Amino acid sequence: MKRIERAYWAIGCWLVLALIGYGLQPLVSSSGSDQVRIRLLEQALQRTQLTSDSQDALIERQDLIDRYLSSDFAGTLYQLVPARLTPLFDPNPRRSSARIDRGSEVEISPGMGVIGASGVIGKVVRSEEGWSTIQLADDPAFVIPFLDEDGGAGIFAGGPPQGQGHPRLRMEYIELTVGEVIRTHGGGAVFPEGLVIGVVAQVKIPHRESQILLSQGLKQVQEVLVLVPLTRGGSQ
Amino acid sequence: MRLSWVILIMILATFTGVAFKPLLQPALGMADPLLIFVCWMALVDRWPRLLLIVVAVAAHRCLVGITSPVDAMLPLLCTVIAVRVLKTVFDPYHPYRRLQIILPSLLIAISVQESLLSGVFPTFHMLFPAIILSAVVVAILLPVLDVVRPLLKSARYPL
Repeated sequence: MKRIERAYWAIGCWLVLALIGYGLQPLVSSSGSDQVRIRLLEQALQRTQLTSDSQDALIERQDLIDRYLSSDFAGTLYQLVPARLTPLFDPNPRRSSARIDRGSEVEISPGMGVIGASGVIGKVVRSEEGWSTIQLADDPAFVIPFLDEDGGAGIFAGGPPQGQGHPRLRMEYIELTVGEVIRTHGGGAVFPEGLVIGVVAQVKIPHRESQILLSQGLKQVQEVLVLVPLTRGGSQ
Repeated sequence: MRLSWVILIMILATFTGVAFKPLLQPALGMADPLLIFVCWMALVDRWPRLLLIVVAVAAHRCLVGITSPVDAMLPLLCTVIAVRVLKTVFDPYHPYRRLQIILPSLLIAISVQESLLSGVFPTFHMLFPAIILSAVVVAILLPVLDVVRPLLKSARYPL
């Protein structure tokens, strides 16, 4: 066989291998350990205010708005802008991003927080007419202050791996326990205090190697709300 | 260099990265087939062509994803420079010894990337599975790239 023919065969085999890998992806993604993690997250969220009988990813836009309208922050600190989130394939394997169908036309701008049915989803990083790009909470560059159940404060950072985060810094002495729900601190003016970030899945020493499970709905098509901060004179 | 084949291989490498994403996740991006392709090109190809590929990969990552230009360019440039430096020490044409060039270069790339993204240098327990996994992917991908070489014309491999 000529060298050029071998090259064509190699390209063909490579493509077939990639297609097989793509086809088998659901089997690898829904491994047993993931199921355990999902169950752990669901059990922990059942104790929180934001629990619903319906599937988080299937929640409708009006349900989502109703859920958060009773919160202290809605209408006083933030305007809730509903949008539909679609996971985005990020060419950088370390980044985690998504896209929403609302943009600068509704005054969404970079830096604003995005929340879903089960809590924090991410932050807006780019906003154009009709769409915005979201940095999801499991992105390594996503950093927000958090509170544990005892009120201890720390800094949460996303990844690795995807779907998880870790406490990067403790601002005071905190002792995390497995199953503990981590919430937003309220500092930084991106997210109000008390929103669910995730659940502690594993506690390790050093502390920053502990694992915090994020909402399993991060990588699903879902309804979300963008937190547009209100100025004193009304909306921005 | 036949640009159409380079683009096709880059698309294939990107698609392979997507297809095997769940398996490659512990590698922190070190086993990214596209990054390995850039390393392979850096082993023997000319600087202008290399820079063209680096800019194309970085531009794609910036435009489609949320990566900033610095975050996209710096790890790639570090990889290419590391390959160029290490190839003066090790044989870039030897089928096994070239791993001594590629693996440290990939390691430098993800260390720079992690430092830029999270501000934290990756620890040994993060790097160890990344090195093992990327060694496996490199060992599979390099022979395939060697076979594909005649399509690219400019890749000067005497294999």
